[in-house]
Amino acid sequence: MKPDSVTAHVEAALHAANLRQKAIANNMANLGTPGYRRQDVRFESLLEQALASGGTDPRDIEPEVFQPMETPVNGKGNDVDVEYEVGQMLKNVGRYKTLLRVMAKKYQMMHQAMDTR
Amino acid sequence: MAGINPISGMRPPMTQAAGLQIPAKKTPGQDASFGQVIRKFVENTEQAQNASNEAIQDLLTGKNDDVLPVVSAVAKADLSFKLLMGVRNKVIDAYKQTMNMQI
Amino acid sequence: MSIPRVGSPIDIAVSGLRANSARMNVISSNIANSSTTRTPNGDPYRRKDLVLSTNPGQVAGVQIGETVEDMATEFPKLYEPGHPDADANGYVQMPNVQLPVEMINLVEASRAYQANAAVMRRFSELSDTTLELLK
Repeated sequence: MKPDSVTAHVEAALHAANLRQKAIANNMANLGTPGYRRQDVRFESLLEQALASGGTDPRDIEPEVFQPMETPVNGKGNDVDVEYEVGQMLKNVGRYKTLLRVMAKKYQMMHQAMDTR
Repeated sequence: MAGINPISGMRPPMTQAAGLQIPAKKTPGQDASFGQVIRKFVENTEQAQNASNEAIQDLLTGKNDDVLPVVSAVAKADLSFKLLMGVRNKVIDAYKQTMNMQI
Repeated sequence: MSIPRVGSPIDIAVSGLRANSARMNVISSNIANSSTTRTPNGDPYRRKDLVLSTNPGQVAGVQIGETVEDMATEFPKLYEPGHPDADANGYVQMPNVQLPVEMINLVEASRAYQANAAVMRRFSELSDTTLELLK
């Protein structure tokens, strides 16, 4: 990853985390809806693939909402588990905070570089 | 070869924390040149920046969900960079002062 | 020095939450059926237990196993001649559920649930403290 594009990628990852927060909120709201499958956001794996293969430009990667279809369904066809969603939310919020701090630090370093007293 | 300046006897904590090493004297009586010291600073800062970018990339691709490696790498890079900026600003100040001297 | 990768404590705590939640389900089923004398197979309700397992030697969390029936304890017999399920001698076979035992298990499971939730909360606080380094 080129050093100057790290900031752009962090911003994209922040968008992805934001979208994922909405997906998790949607899952929680649909705890009892029959036939509902949980949603998640695909971004990190796409970025990894793009960087490894060098095919797609990493800056074109958009986060997308999808249904993993990995969790078992209960009697009503619903696969949302409250404890799991809470865990996902905590991890997502932690990720968002970390990315935010990293980005703030990057901008701070740029300010320092520009600031010649 | 530990790079400890014999005059001070001890590495100052800031540079130690940033993982910097002041180059040892080449031969008795010959100081390590200021240019070499600056170059070392810049190299170390660049290394720290690269390590921090790698750690951030790992976080972005989901290879590492842990907060600590990223924070520690970025903090080291930040410290190293601040040090470099401090040195740069002082050098510029010294240059300005020299230019302002009445001959 | 590279910091080794650990499975997220949040994932492990979530597995603990789910396991204890499942245990509470089983316990509540036992309590609700503590007087059920008639089940489709003809016997009274047999007390159920939940099997929990984990991978040894790994920091991996807990896996929910299957729900097994408690075959070790016998159905206690109650003398009640007027009961529809009484046998020829007037004895009714009751479920092998003992309420005090179930209540103790319930308290333990809910305490474990709270402990797992505390782990998640503390870990979040720890992460926040770590991020303070970058202020």
